[in-house]
Amino acid sequence: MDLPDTASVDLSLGEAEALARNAARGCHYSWGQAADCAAAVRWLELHQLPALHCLSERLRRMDNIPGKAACPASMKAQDLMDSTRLCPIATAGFLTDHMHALSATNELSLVEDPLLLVPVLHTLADFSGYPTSLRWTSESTDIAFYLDAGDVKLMTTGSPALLITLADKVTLTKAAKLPSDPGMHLPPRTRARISPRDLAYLTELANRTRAPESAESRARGAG
Amino acid sequence: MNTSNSLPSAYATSGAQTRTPVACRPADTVMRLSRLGAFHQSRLSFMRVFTRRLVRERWRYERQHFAIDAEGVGYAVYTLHGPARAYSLVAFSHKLADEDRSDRVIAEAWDATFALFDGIPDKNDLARLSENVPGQEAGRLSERELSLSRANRSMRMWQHVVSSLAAGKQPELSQLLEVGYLMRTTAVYGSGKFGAADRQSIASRPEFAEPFQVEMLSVYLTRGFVVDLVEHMARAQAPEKATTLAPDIARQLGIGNSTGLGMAPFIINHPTLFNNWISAREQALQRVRSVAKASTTELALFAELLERTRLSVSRWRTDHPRQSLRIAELADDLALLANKTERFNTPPGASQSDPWDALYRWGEQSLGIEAQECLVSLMLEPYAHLVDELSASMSCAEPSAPHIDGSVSVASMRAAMERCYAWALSIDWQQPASRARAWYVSQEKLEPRLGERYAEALDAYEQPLGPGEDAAKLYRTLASWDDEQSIAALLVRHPEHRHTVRRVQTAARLPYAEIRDNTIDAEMQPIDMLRCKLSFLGATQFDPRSDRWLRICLFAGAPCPSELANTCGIEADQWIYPTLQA
Repeated sequence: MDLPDTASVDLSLGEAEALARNAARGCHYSWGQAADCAAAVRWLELHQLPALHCLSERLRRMDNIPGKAACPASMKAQDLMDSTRLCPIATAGFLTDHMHALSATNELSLVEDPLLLVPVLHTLADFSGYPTSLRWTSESTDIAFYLDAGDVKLMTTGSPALLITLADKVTLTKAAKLPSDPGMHLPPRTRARISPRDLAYLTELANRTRAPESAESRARGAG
Repeated sequence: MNTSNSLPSAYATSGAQTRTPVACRPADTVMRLSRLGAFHQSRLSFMRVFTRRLVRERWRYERQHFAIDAEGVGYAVYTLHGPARAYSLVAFSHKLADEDRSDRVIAEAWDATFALFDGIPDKNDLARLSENVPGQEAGRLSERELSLSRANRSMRMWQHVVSSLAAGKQPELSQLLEVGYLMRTTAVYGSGKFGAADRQSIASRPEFAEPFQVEMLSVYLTRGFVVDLVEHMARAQAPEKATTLAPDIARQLGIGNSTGLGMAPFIINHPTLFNNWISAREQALQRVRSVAKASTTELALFAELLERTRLSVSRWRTDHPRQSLRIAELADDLALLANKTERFNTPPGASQSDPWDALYRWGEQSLGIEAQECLVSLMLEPYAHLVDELSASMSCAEPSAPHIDGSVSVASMRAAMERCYAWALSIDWQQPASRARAWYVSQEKLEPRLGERYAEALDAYEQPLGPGEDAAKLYRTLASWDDEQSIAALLVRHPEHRHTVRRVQTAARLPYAEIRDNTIDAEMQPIDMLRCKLSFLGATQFDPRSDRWLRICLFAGAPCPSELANTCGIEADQWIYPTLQA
């Protein structure tokens, strides 16, 4: 499968991370969640995945929508599988905070923009020391990511919808059994990619965190 | 990072006689802004680590291009060849009207602009850089570039040196020493800024193992360019008569730097890295204080460098009222220290047990805070074999969002906060003065600013740079939770505390991660944060211009790039202490 290549602007990974952090904050995520989001975007872009585009689309849809940062209320099965649509940024934070309480296999329902949840694999692999996997399914898509000793592999069947906006079910597995199918390896790269449209939108959101300068503040506060 | 009382294996082979080690200084002593703002350069400063490496590894300097006209407009390229790689400074020299010359970050034109290139640039690279570097923030770099910077002339010094050289004379050294440089940088951007290479992509190179080595490389090559340019301008003025700078004078010229608030948030936003810097310095002090007996060579070197420091302090100029007073007190204290160590250095003083610990403890009682921290730096000097290896611990691959251990109980979190944030929990946050300031970022220049909370509508833009107040808010929330509940559960309900929980967990692991003072207090002096960071870079001659920006000097006295091949180890190490009497 080919990864979508809608991007044309090259950013350093540090710039991608800073942009994601400020855009998420500009969209009213808490500072801590914005930092989680930024780290996730950096990790995904490092592994050639279109995180900036995914984030941009998410924030475009969710800006000013109350409850956009929903995560499970607890690790109880009924909370993980209830009918609330889950935010991938808040849910990633929830899962990493609950590393100590994760089962061998953990299922969640109705996760929005699941690509942004994938970096949880990295934390889980660090925590458990085993290969990990994250799989999502919806009506037409079945995508699984595997992480083993830093090597990221993508397996897919059906429509290759990396940028699906809602996964019916997400399964996070520690000590995952690696598939024999070679799948698609996602080796690290050194830059992030973004389309001018997404760059403009995320910058607009990021600018919400920055104060317009008055002559007075410029004289008083500028370094 | 180990901050225990154990001593390193270096002791076993160093010949140093040791005793039961003293403890590292507690964070409550070290991490106060008043003390951090009194730090001085030391042998662990990144500039000194850099010059030691250049000489040890025999880096070679080469001027690749110098295409600058009689008006001072054009470009030049300088390369340093290391054992495995070469790096080039691409310098653009501009004609700048006096009225356009500003050190402030809001400036839009400069006397010279620079990029540090990874390798040796070809014609295409130079063409690309000529379109992007002069505009600085308005341009765009690639991952072949490691830094972006600019500099302005110190006009009084520049004109004096050009006219002197054009007349075939050397400039007045006493005048040069008053300023210390001909050009000052007003920003040096690295680490992926404006499209440049990320730190992560070069962090595994040995020459960049310590922090800020890219920036040091850029500034050091800039210093070589400035000498070439001033000599070129003198030649352009009087081709027949002009002379070049005498090497002894050229060596005294450093590079100035104007630094504003942009530097202050760095040490709050990088708690692990900041811990590692402070921890390395504190461990170095611990190791030296634990030396049971000093040799006469070690004592003699200390005494010599103390005298050279006194000379340096006598040349330290500032109009800033607070710093002027502190310099005067420092000069008096160093006289006291000289008097003290004169006796301490003569037999039977030379056979005294625990000489450095005794001296440090005397300093704590007898010296002001500037002199105490100056003494710390001086005490490290005779002990390269105990101190220098610690520079390797000063970097870290710090994740921007460290993993939160959600299994921690509310009771444990509360206890950690009472241990690490007692200073913050004791502040009355209802008092307006306690939260009089707010850190924000300007939309226009994307630079940090410090505003007056009650005079400007800044709450919506406030950056999380007041960890003390954030900690107090979290602590208040914890009060309504049961002891055995988990932090993970609390964060489901209170995502607004997420960044603070992360910070507390870092501070609980790393004693020097957090400044233990209120960074939004009405009386807080941002220059203390700037000075602390600059001391780790290796800056001298701190000259505050207000409470939020200052000028400093780097590399004054260092071997010039063209002298590297003939520089020995001691010169590579102790050049920062002046020897020339003006």
